[in-house]
Amino acid sequence: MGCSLRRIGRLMGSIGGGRCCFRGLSTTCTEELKSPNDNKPINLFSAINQALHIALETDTRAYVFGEDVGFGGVFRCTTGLADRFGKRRVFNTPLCEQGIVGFAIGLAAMGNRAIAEIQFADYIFPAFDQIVNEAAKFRYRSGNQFNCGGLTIRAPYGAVGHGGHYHSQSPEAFFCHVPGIKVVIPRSPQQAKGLLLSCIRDPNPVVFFEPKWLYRLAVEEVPDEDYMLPLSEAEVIREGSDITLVGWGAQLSIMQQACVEAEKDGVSCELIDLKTLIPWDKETVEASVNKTGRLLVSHEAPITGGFGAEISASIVERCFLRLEAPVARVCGLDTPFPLVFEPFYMPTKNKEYIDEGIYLWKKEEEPASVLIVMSHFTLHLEVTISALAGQLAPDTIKVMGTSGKQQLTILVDTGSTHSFLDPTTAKKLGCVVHHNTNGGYCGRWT
Amino acid sequence: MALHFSKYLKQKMGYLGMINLRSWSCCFYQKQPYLSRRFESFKADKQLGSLHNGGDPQVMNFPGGIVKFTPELKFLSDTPEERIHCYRVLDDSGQPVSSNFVQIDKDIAVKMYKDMVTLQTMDTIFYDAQRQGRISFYVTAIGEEAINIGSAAALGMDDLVFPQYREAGVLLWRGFTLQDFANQCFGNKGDNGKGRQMPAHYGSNKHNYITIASTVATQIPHAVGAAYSLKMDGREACTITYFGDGGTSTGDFHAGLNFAAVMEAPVILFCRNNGWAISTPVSDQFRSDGIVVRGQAYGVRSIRVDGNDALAVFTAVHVARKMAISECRPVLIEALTYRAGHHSTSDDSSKYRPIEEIEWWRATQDPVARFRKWLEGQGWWTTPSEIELRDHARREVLHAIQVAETVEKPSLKEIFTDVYDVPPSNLCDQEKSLRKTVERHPQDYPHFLF
Repeated sequence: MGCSLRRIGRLMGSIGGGRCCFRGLSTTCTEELKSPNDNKPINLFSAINQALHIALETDTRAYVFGEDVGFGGVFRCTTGLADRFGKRRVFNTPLCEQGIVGFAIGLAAMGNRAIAEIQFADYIFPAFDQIVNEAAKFRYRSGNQFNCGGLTIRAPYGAVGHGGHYHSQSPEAFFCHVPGIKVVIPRSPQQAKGLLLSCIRDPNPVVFFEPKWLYRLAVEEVPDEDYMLPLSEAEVIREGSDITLVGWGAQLSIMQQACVEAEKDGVSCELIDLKTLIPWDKETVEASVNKTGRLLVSHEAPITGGFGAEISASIVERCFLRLEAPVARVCGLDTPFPLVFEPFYMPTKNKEYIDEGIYLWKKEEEPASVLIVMSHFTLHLEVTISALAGQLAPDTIKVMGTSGKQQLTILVDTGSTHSFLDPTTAKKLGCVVHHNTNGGYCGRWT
Repeated sequence: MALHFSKYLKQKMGYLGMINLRSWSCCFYQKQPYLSRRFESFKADKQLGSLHNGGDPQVMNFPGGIVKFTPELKFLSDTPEERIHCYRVLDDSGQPVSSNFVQIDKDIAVKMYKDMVTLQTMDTIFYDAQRQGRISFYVTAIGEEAINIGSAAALGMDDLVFPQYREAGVLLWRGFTLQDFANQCFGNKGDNGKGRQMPAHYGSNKHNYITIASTVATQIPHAVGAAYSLKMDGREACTITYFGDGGTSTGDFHAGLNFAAVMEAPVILFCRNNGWAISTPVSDQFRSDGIVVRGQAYGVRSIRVDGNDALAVFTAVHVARKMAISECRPVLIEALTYRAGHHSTSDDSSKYRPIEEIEWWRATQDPVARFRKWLEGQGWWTTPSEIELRDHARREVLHAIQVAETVEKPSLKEIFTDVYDVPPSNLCDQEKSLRKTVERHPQDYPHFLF
């Protein structure tokens, strides 16, 4: 068994290596950031390193510390900092995450910029209490007499091809449940530098997850200068009209590929980088879904209780009448992160495009003969459909929403006998009305 | 935590023998062929480069220092042969047993005593107020007045306090008024904390007293981080953090103590070992000789003092403070005392400890009475002043409660402020929605200001 596992391991290793090129795509720079200078393309860890240099340079009250930070860090993000700024501002800490974050909170409470590194996001849990009960509540519980707003916790997260259980996790959703902190995840070197500087200078504690798969693989031009990118502002990085895709961090490059594939089949995808998970930019996502009528959320973390669920619920609340298909979530499996099975675990382009997401609704290309107009008060969609299915052939049913409030009309309500569609109104809407077995009505477009 | 990763690598690559694990994990991510990258990623530091013993076969030059070899197979004892002695100045009857203490002048001594009595009075009356249903919760410092006031008096006002929840006396010493205390307990508009926390969770920026949280011992690493900041700023100040015997079992205590030592932070780690963590006696809490012995293992200078002796506490903190600031080092103090009251108003300690035990401590070890005897011995205190002080304190506390009860509650908007520096859109939406609900059903909500 052990031998065969090792063989699989090697096999996977080669597959992983092959897939790296897919992961390596960095997303495009925003126009306004392009510097007149001839910027060299750099990778993501170098962009982080630049941001940390600038943070320490521009604020003498900034400190960088964590396990193995002194020699440059296991991912080289802190290379050269101790030499440049001294061991009193850039230093190793004992191997103890709750100590690192607790120390950082105290340092930040004294008006410093405490930039703490947790070596892997998988190891942030010993510090969970310090983040959730201390950092997040420091301002609130004191009535704004004290705050630790200068705190930034950096942690590499996500799959890396060979990380197994404890070097692969994406724990962002745990922190998105905590009022008082911000959670930020960059997708590319340029974003990483600008967002990290914003996080460091933001007057609130921030957890900044860095996509470790992209540390070396994502390369793009990054302006040399000191710049900041806004928090809590999502960015539409690809415009489209048929479906909205929302993601963050390393997953965006996968989603980008799905968009390209979909385009070949004539599906126009709009891709949004959320960037800040809390407090998140609902408005940008809402506007996009109101345009496209469909939403897909994708993240590496397990699907159940992931942040995709929150986005899905919020957008259904806001865009219910506009949604033309159920919100799709293409995420990690509800298992611990499995080493040799990583390619199966991951929310890949195939899952996103063909199997669980974009393609699902596209299969229903035939025009439906029955339209169910949903409103706020309609019971569960599935119940409605199954009730209808008794009278009509299932393949003739199409479920849609409408955005116009004037057309708020319940056609089917299986749980009660209420119907708000009278035949006169229905005629005005161009429907032929049929009485259904449950006492409601359904309409057929003529 | 990279260690786990390195271990995994080591198992895989075990045949390579001694490797520099750090450079391994680095190499791993560079996706370079392992062997070619083996020694290239960074310079090994000197310590690791000189593993030889310098020609002396009797020693090992180990990272962290030279270690002598011995042929003797000897395990260290689990406990010291004799328990660490407890520094004391005053005996049970308030008589000095030595002159080895920091002298305090009359004004300070009298203020110390007055604050001890005021604290005791406040605790008694606030406790009763909770029993009458006027406030929802309370914790007393009964039996620990000498720790509270003795340590507070030895600190400078610039020293930052990171308290647990049984050190209200430190805040009292610093000038937080009885009205301030009452306002917090009633969660009214005068509460610094805007009515958000349970009673007895005080905090005051003005008094360098960081807001209390119910979480146990989490404040210890904060005090270390803040102390590091004081050191970096070259301030003539230290931080002090208080915690109980139960708190020393937490990860944060060990993290804090270790960080304090490694970071050479000017922090006083003050343990109130009062024998009981709610109902858990110290015998169920830890082994060995209490807290004080933990210090040496972490490289922290430590002392055990009689927590019911205000002069001993004052002296220990005074000296510890000087060492902390002038030598940039942490100091651990274990004060032996007894929680003569219940853990909180939610606790009945007679359920788990003999009444006689409580009575004995209250009758013979009362820190307030002991200090008064010393004051009287100095000729600084008299019976009439005692009567007047207690009467005055009682009237002041009752007055503070009466006023606090009538002060209106904080404005409803304070639910949403201070979560972040500025409320984000989700909180603005929630506030609007909540206001609508309250306007529709005003009878179902307390009368808060809008």
